[in-house]
Amino acid sequence: MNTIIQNILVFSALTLALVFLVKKFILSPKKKSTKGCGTNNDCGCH
Amino acid sequence: MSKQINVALIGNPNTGKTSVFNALTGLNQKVGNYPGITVEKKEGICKLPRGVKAHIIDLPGTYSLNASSLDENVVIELLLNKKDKDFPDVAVVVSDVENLKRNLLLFTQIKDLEIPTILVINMSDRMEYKGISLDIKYLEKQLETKIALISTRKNKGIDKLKELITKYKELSVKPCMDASSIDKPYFDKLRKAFPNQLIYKLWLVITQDVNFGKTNRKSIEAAANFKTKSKTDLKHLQQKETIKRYQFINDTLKKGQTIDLESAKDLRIKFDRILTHKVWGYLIFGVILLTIFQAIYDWSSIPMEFIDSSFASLSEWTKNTLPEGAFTNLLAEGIISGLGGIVIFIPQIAFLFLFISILEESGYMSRVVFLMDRIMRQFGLSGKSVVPLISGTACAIPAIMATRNIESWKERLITILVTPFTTCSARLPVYLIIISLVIPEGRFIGLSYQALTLMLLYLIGFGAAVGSAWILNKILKLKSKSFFVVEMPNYKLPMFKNVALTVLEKTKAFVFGAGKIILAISIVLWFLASYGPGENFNNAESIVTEQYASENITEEELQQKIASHKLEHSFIGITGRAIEPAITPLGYDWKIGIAIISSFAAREVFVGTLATIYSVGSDEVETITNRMAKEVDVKSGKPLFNFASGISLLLFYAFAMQCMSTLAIVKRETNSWKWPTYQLVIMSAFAYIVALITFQLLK
Repeated sequence: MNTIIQNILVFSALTLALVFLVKKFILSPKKKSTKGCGTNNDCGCH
Repeated sequence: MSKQINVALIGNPNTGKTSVFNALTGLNQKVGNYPGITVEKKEGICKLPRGVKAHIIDLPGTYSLNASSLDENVVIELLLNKKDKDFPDVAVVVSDVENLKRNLLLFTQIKDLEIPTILVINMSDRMEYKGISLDIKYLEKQLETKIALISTRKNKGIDKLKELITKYKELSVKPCMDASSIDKPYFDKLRKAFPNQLIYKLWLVITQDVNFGKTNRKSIEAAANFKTKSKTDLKHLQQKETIKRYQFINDTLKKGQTIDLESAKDLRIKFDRILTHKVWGYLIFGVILLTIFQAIYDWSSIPMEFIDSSFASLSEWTKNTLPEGAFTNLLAEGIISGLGGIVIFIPQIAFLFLFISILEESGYMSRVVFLMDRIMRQFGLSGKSVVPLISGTACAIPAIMATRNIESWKERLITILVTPFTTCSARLPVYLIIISLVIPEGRFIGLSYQALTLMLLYLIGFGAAVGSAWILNKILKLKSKSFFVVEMPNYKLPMFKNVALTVLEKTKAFVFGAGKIILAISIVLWFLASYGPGENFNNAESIVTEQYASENITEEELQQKIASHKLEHSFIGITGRAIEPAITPLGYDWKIGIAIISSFAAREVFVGTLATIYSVGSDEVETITNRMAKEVDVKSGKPLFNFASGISLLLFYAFAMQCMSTLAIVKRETNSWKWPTYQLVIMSAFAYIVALITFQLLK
């Protein structure tokens, strides 16, 4: 049981991480507004 | 429900606008993570009396409403668009008591837009020192406004300002001068053609490429009953307007302000003579840089060691406390180790921003810009390029955006292309960890070799930037004119609150910005390092046990061999092996290769990646530095991170374009993929060649 839960958690974390990275580096650069970072505290420079 | 009003903070650069913003909003602010310069806008909330909340917008510094750069357009566009959600209910124009005459030009223009306007006269604590006295009542009457005489340094007058903002409805919206008198017939025609529009707004739209609502320059030009003037005539009228405004300001200040030059005590000229001297100026700047780098090393060593060992203990505690399994391993070996690789650098990043902030706050940075202009001209750049290059020490992205105030397209393009060479804070973790591994700890005249190496890397970055600017200046055949004007603000003792907020804001942006990416990459890397295809990975235990059955090795050694075998045949191991032939000549192994590839997302990911890879399968409580120091080159049996491979790696990171976000911003600023592609190919190829030559010479 413990192994199954742990595996589910690992794959969930992996999926979330991949979705985040794809959004950050593949989808978001195209969607960025022409005004730049503006008030957002995360300009994606790191 | 409490009422919320929009307040726009507007003013010339160096009037203490940001200090007023900090005094009003405190920690209730959202700030773009652009170090050094307000490129876009800052927002914050200020609680006012009677339950009113003020939404404060700190707009970029501008000298007038005649925009000459993209940043200044931000101010005009907001003030002209009544439908903008941030359109101010009240404008607060911040001025400096010592430069009131120049600051009032912008004030009179904003008043003409018929927006309720408060005049803030800041730095009142310097009045006595400078022999200045003001007749506030007279000034209020002449300027048709309310004045808040404040000192953010002494925290005086802020309550009065809050009170004036609360009572903004009582402010007069009457213009303080009639701009249309510069050409009555022309303005009359304009008024007839657009009877429902404010005349001064129309004038601003005509003279600049600014839109407001449905009326823009083209629609004015297209109006049948109105014929606009030629560009030269409009420029001439603009000059006339400026002269008229200064006549009004002079008349107002003649009675409203008195300056007793005899009682003024000014050390500024003496300081400037030394700090901008063509020999002493550079020497002092060099000494300041040396002190900064030495302090970064000396002051941060204890907190860094503490953070490093804390993360190692946390990783061990997680493994021992949570139930055994894949997720526990992911937490202990992937996430905690990866995050530890970034948190460890907080002290150094904070100290770096502390010094940069002090230099900016004190007014010294403007002297550096002035000093550097002399050097910049030799390389085809102007002093304006220095601001982005210095900002680039924090992050290339805001630095590239700061090039917007360079009027010459050629100079702007060159600055955009060379700025990524400047040592940004993302390179710092890579430099620090490699330096600590390959540079001895000794000292030379009180300065550690490690601090000197770090400073040398900053100079190499700056040298590469100006060197490539010189080459680009020769290659690029673009014609443009340029001029350089820099304002020398007065020397001030840095305000603790401003410095502290800057350090907090920059460090937070660094940790949270990088932290999210590192966390995600650590998870992916841990997965790729913990799983693999085929027999070699799945049957690793039996293969290794069989292989070493005849040898007398301990259980611990056997487990290490199994972990190493698994890692080698994991997904990441297979990928690493595939790229190894390309990086072996540079002195790197496949693990470093993986770290280089993953750090293309952001340079600082390099350390986190290595921390994750080295942690997978390891049961030992080790700090990141120790793990890296223990890595051995399989072929030679020597430490993997030795002097030759270390210097090669440092130079690779000094020159390589390892930042996806920077490439995206270069594309946006140049409106073409051509320039970021050139940048990526040329910088990466140059970095590879330099790293290759360095390793081959030093090995």
